[in-house]
Amino acid sequence: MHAWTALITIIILAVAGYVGGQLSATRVLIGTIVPYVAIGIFLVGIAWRVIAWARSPVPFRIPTTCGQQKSLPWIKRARFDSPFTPGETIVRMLLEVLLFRSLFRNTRAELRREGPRLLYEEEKWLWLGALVFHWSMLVVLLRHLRFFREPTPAIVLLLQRIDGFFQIGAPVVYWTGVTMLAALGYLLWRRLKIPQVRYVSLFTDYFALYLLMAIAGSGIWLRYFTKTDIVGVKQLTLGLMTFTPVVPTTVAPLFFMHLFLVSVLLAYFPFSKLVHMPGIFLSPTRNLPNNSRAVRHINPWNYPVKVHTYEEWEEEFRDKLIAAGLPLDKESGNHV
Amino acid sequence: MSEQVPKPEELVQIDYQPPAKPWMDVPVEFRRGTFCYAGAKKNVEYLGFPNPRDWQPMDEDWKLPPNWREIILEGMRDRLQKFRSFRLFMDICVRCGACADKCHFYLGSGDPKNMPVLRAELIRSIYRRYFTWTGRLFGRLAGARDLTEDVIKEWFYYFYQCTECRRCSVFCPYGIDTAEITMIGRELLNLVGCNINWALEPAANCFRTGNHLGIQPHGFKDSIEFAIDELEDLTGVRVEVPIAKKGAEVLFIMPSADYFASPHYYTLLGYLLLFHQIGLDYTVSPYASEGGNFGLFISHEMMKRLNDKIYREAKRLKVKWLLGGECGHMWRVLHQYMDTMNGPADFLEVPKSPITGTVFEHAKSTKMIHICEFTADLIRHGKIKLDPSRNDHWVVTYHDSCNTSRAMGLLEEPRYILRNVCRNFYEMPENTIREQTFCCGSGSGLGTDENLEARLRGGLPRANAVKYVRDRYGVNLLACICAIDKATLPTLLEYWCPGVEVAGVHELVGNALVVDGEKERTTDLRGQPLRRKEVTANA
Amino acid sequence: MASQGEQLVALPQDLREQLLRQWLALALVHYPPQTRRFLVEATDPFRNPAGRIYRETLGVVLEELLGLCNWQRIRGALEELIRLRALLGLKPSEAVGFLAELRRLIGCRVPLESAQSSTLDGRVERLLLEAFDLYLECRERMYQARLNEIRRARFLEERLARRQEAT
Repeated sequence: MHAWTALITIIILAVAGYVGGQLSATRVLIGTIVPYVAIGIFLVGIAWRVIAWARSPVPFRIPTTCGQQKSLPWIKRARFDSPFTPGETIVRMLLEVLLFRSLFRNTRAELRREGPRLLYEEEKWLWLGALVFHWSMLVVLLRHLRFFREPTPAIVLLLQRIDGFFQIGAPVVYWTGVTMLAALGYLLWRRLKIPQVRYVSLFTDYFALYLLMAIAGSGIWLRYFTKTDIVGVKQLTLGLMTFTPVVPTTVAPLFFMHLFLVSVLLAYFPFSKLVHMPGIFLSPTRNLPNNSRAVRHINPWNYPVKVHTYEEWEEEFRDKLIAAGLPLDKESGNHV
Repeated sequence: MSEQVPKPEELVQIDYQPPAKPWMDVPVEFRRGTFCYAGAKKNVEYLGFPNPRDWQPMDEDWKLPPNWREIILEGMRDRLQKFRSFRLFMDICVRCGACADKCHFYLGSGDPKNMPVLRAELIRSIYRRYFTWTGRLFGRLAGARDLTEDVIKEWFYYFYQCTECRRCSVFCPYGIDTAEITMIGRELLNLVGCNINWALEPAANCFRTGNHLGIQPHGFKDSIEFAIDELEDLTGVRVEVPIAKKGAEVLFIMPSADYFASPHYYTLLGYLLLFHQIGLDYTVSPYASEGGNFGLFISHEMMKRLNDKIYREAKRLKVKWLLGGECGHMWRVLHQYMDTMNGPADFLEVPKSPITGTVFEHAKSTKMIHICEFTADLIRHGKIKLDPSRNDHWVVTYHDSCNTSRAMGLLEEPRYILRNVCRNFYEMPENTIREQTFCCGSGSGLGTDENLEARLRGGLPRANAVKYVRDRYGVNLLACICAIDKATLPTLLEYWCPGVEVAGVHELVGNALVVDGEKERTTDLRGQPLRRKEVTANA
Repeated sequence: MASQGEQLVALPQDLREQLLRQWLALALVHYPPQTRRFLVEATDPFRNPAGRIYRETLGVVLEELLGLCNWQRIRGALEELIRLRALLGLKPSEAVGFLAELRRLIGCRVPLESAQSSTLDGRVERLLLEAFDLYLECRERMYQARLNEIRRARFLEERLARRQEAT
């Protein structure tokens, strides 16, 4: 159900972008105003999001420990699954952010009938799909820098060379575009296929996937099939960068669809689950060291609570304490 | 036979995935044996919680206060501002489903709302509706729904079907911790008086008398003396247990079950023998006679109110540092909350073993160490003599309790002890131990009577792994360091996996410990005859 | 053909697999639809303990019913299965009833001679009766476990009281 609504929404948006790119009035809109507005929403939205998170304090130190703590010096500890120092915690975060450490934990045990031992198989498809998608997207994004910088930065050229290493096709095929689309396809496929995941999926889950697929797909199409006027595109993007927007007429309408969908993505980003990207850096179960007993954590809103003091307790059980011959702080009660 | 069973001819076409109603349209159904009874009025009143009344979850009318919706939403707003965890976990879930098959309740019951992601969505959907503009604007399309009384009932049903074990959080790529969400969910429910008695009564008892069962000082003393007498019968050694002794070096805090329930009691015997043999200058207190903290299962405030007794008593008795017994959630509170809530413990000293001289630097602020850390250090330094053959009648496996593994990282210390006190030790499969350990299904205040069926279902993944080592290696004892495990795993195993008993690690230490002046031991601490096996020559 | 002769119904492997799959599907009718596929397809015996129990026990029962019919082996498997079924909050008839469907399942897939057919009828009937016994046993075991738990929780209290009486 959600899968269909999301698909229809994306189709409408894509068509709007495509048609908009053909009419001269809307072309200017899509080529200049929409991207500016989208970037504005993106920046303000993300800042607002992160500030909102950061404004809520972390009252307790609650890391999820996924390995041996630091206790006795002769016990080998898990430095990065149960970090003790800030440095180790940073490594844990890096493993999480760059390599998706937690998703990598999905081992599956297999009983082999003949053998005496259990076999552990790695069930890593979700991890692999997610990793391929995110890394591909990063490379694709960096590659796009060539549209925004004149001359193209050396690092981008290097990246392009690596990405197009196999020198297949003309223009050379960049693998990350293909892997990104394939990984997205896998992520969509598993969302539809695994009943539990499908059951919990919302409109936004499909919408984000379709949107990214449409962007990647249109990008690939532009590069390899439409082979649009790159010079014109660069004129447009550099114009946007320097706040002197120009909208060349030589650029294919499909490009405007691509641009429009990217704008939609940017504007949608801060209000959707896609904010998990900045969010992970703030996750208290991951970004805190497991040194709760060594370094006191301060709760900024720690407030006094109603307790049962020893004096009250002794008073309440005075007779019983005396009968049992247990020591008292005050030999006679207040009520004598 | 119900009518939904298809005819054999139709079976060929049976699909495992018929169209399902969206979860928001599936009303909660209170199935007997799955939920816990409501908090009794007297306990709600005693603790000063809102809306004390006589009610039960199966009632049609839950007698919520007239402005319950405002109370809940205000409570959410307040907690969104106070807990970054809550705010963040409301926003960043991508519903990847990595957590889905990690929850023991889901694996045991198959109820999709027991998947961690959906358990959290129960509250996220409300968050979106009232606290995000996309939710306000697009409603269902943005995954938002209205807050109705049925939502409250659903929360109650499912937040009291989560044991806050944090297993899902290990696998979540963003570290979203359902325990955190459940804790907040329960706090919100408490604001309108929807709580369970099995959490409230122990808390009320503990607040008043100092321990969950409500044992008063003289009863505490009787129990300890009984244990002393029994130890003398078993070993011929009479130990001394100073109660509320001022100026002792160490205050020892244990879960109260250790001195009233079985098999916890044998662990107590183990501690007492150990302390006697090494000549530890320690004391126990009837005022702080509970290490456990059922406040953790109610609210952060209640946790703090109960935890207060520990430092307060340490200060009064002028001890130097604190030692804590075998208990799971107790150690979550001690490790991750106590210092922040009721510290700083600047009146104590950094724990230092008087026997080995080891300074426990990792506890230099909280000043409390775990008995397994303490004992492992003793063994490592060769300060106690052990005869592991006295545990030959046991073939042992070790169950990591959720809190000591995933909220503390205490994994190797108990294993080190076990390898030294017994000779037959086998691990359960890798993905069911250590940080991936399966919950007993009865933690977080759910270990009661009326929901036994839910507990047994939730305990299936754990029992299933125990059964594997029982069948394969002949394991007949499951060692653990958690009082709730010791109370509920025997029940679980009696049903799923008969023939496996449950014991604390320090019960086995007590069996193996060679005590000066003891008589020839012919039984273990349970009074069962020893069955020493011949030691092979090259052992 | 000596050993084969003792088989009641000799089935090719794939047909037996199909039968098992369909039988399993019948057993899972009472589970929420989103969960059924997971129970069937997740093969890790520790991550999917319920699925393991269904697969293993139904496999054994089917093999024995069509084969040598070792009732001890059947009972062992059945016990593990019913232990799970008895906790699902089902009516007793729902918990064990699906077992009887095997008769019809086989009937519409495999042509049986009348002698074979009546033997199989007898076996399935006995299977069902055994399952009812086990269901009751499991429920009783649960209540017994419940009582024992309560007693363990008052372990010291009871012993203290006993000592007081003695002195």
